[in-house]
Amino acid sequence: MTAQIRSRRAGRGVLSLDAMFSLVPILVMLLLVMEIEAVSVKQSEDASHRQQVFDKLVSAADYTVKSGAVVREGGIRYPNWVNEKNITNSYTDSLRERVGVNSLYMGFGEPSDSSQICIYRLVVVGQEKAIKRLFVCGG
Amino acid sequence: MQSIEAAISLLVLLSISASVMPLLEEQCDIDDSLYRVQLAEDAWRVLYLRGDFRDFGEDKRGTIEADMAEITRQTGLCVFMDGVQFTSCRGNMGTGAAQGHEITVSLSRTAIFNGTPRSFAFALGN
Repeated sequence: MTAQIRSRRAGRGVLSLDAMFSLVPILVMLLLVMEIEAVSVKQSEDASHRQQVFDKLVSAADYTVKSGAVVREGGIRYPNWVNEKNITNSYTDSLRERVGVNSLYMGFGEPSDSSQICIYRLVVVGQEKAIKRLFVCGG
Repeated sequence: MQSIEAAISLLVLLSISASVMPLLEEQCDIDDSLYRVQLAEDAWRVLYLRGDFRDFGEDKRGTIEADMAEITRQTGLCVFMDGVQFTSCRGNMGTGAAQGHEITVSLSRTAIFNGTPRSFAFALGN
C-alpha cells in the first residue's frame, strides 16, 4: 500500500517535471513572438514617421521652388528661379508651422546636422542664373 | 528519444528566430518616387532658364553639356537626353545616351532641335 502511494507521488513528480519542461519552450516562444511584435510595431511607426516627414519636406520644397521664394517680374513668377532674399527666417518659420514639422532648415549650404531628413531641389539663383541646390531639411 | 525531440524543438525554435530577426532589422526605404520626378523636372527647368533650349541644336552641345555636367557635379546624378545624344556622363555610349547607366527617372519631352520638333527622353540616372 505504502509502495503504491510512493509510486503515485513519484509519477506526479515526473508529470510535473514534464509539464515544466514543456512549458519553458512555450513561454520562450511566446516571449519571442511578443518581442517580434513589439519590434515590428516600433519599426512601422518609425518608418511611417520618416515617410511623413519626408513627404512634408517634399511639399515644402516644391512650394518654395514653384511659388514661395521665386523671382517675380511684372506679375509673372519663374519656377526654379529663386530669389535668395525671399528665404528668410520668418518664411522658414511660417512654412514649418504650415507643414507641421518640428524643425525646418532651408538654404543653399549643406546642413551639418545629419540627424535630420534632407532633400534638395535644383534651382538657379541671381541674374547670372547660377545652378545651385536648395536644401530643405527637417525632423 | 525525448532528448532528440527536445533537440529538434530547439533547432526549430532557433531557425525560426534566425529567419525572423534579420527581417526585423531591415530598414524600410522611403518612397521617393515623386521627389525623383520633381528633381528631373528641376534639371529640365534649370537648363531652360539658362537659355539652353534657345536655338536648341547640335551647335549648343558644348553649352548644354557643360550645364548638365554642373548638375552632375552638384548632385552626383548623370543627365541624359536620349534621342539627341546629349549627356553629362559619357562612358558606355552606344545607341542611347544612357547606354550602360541605370536610369532612375525619365521624362518625355519635345523641343525644337535644329529647327525640327523632336521628342526625346530626358533622364536622370547613375
